[in-house]
Amino acid sequence: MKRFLIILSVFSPLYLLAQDSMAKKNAWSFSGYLKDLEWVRFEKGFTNVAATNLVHNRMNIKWNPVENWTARLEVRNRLYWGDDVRVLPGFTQQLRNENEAVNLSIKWFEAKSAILHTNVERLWLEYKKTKWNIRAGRQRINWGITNTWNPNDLFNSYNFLDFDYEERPGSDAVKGQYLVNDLSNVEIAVAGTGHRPVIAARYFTNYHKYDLQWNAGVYQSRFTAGFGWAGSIKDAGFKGEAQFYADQKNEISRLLLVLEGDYMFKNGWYLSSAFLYNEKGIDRPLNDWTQLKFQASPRSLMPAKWNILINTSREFSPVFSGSMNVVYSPGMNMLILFPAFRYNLKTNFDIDFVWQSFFAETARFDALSHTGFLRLRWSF
Amino acid sequence: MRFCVSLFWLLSISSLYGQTAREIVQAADSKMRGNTSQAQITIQTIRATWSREMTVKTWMKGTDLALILLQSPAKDKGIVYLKRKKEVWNWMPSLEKIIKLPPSMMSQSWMGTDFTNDDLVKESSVVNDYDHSIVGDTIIDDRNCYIIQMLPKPEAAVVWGKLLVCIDKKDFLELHTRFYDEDGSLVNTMNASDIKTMDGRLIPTRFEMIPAGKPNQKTVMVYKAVMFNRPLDDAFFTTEKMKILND
Repeated sequence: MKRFLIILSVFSPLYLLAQDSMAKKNAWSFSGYLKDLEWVRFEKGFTNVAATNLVHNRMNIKWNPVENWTARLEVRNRLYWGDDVRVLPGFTQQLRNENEAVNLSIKWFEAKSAILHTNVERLWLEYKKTKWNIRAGRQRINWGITNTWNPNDLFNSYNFLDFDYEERPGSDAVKGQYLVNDLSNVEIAVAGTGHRPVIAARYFTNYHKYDLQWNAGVYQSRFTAGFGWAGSIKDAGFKGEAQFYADQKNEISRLLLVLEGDYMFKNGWYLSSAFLYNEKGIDRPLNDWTQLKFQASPRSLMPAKWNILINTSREFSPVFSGSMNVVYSPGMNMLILFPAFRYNLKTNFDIDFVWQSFFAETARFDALSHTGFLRLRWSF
Repeated sequence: MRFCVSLFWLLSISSLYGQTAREIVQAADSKMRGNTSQAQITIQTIRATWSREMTVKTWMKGTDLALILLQSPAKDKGIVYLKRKKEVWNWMPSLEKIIKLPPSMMSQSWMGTDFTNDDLVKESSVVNDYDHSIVGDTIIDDRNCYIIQMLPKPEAAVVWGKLLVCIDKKDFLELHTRFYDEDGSLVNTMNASDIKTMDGRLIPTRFEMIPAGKPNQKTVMVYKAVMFNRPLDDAFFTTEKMKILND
């Protein structure tokens, strides 16, 4: 931290952006956070308590030496200790993002119930001209347009239950963008994914108050094409995404579809609902819930075939807010309750309380597990 | 969120030398507006037991185009709001994602402050959407002011039932405003002070918004710098620009 500040003070401000005459830019910028997350997981009936702690640090460095060039390095350090490290199968393996082609992670140490892990989350260089730009390296290619589930996000899907990973994963890619006009652009990206590459193009435009996008490409050797939109019906937001994969493999989805609506009530309550159709998802109750995985890929954003999400949130005061997510998957008869509260203790210090409960049908509809999370965050 | 939109309202409060109520309001409105404006603003949210401060940069062109960049606190740094006519987008730098906001979001207060943001998207104009009449005189900070009553036109989509506006007779500065709801109850009071010359214009640089019936609660907005009428292309106000504003 100290070192970065010194670097920061050495470089004098640059004046960039001819139009932005008030801009006073630093060539370097540094930001990040330190979080402590403690969670307690209960099996159904509130038995078998498992407590785990995570110290989570992220450091973001941006370098913008001259107008056309930008570079970014973001590093995530995580120190886990506790019961989940010991008892959950594959806990340490899943710390590594399988979607990354190059392994830029280090396990500094690993014990029976503790691990310290560092991963380079972003590492890219960008060259930018007025009409086009090209970015190479580990980056996030965000093609999603809806809020929760993003079938159009071909390069770096994320699991919405993973609330502690705000930045979401990246991928190792080269991406070019051409600006057709003020509100339209074409992007072409190629990413290595550890398996087979993803190559795709997207056209984005704004027409009649609707953001519209089309994509097409090859996702791990299969042709894919998709469409997404974000607009409104009267005062409510209306968004959607659809993605189609042309192959006959039976076990993975050929079609994913998301419809989403949101509305802000006059009294300050925000309500959003989303529907996800995942063609090859599970549509019957499972016998063995231990096999259930929430690892997202573009072709499987949820384990279930039909999924409905209702989210409501409210800012009770400028420093205290809360939200409630309810996900129900009919067919599987699975229910997820996901409330969260945030209190801003003082500038740059937040405390979060989050709860996740899973219920599902086996012999009968019952709780699978409950997890309570308490998080402190210092942002810098 | 609420905050940004109101910010737009305040920024749009508007010089001509007419003497009708409408012309006086128009003069005050254009004083703070300009064809384009760029500003650096500090916003303090004050409550009985705590206060929080944030800094923002704003770029505006006419009433249709606006950009707001949050510069502090650390957690929100780099967040951008873009308004083009009635559409509003939000750039979340941590997610590197653009989120289109529902139009209903605009009728809310912004980021917990005492400003409402209706006027950002609803495009209500203090000049065109109201009928104006001079109802009296007063003195604020040794300045003689007109008291002007503004009643919304029947067809205007505005959030207020009535506004009482005090505008300085000499320099056309809007120094005090009372916002009433449709039932005639006082909702907010705005006081403007710290009159300074910025970018060659004499303007108030400190605005306080005080909600009625909530003691010890207010929002204070202070202009640290402002520039008017510098050229800004329409292309500056695009979703692509949002992504690189903080670079």
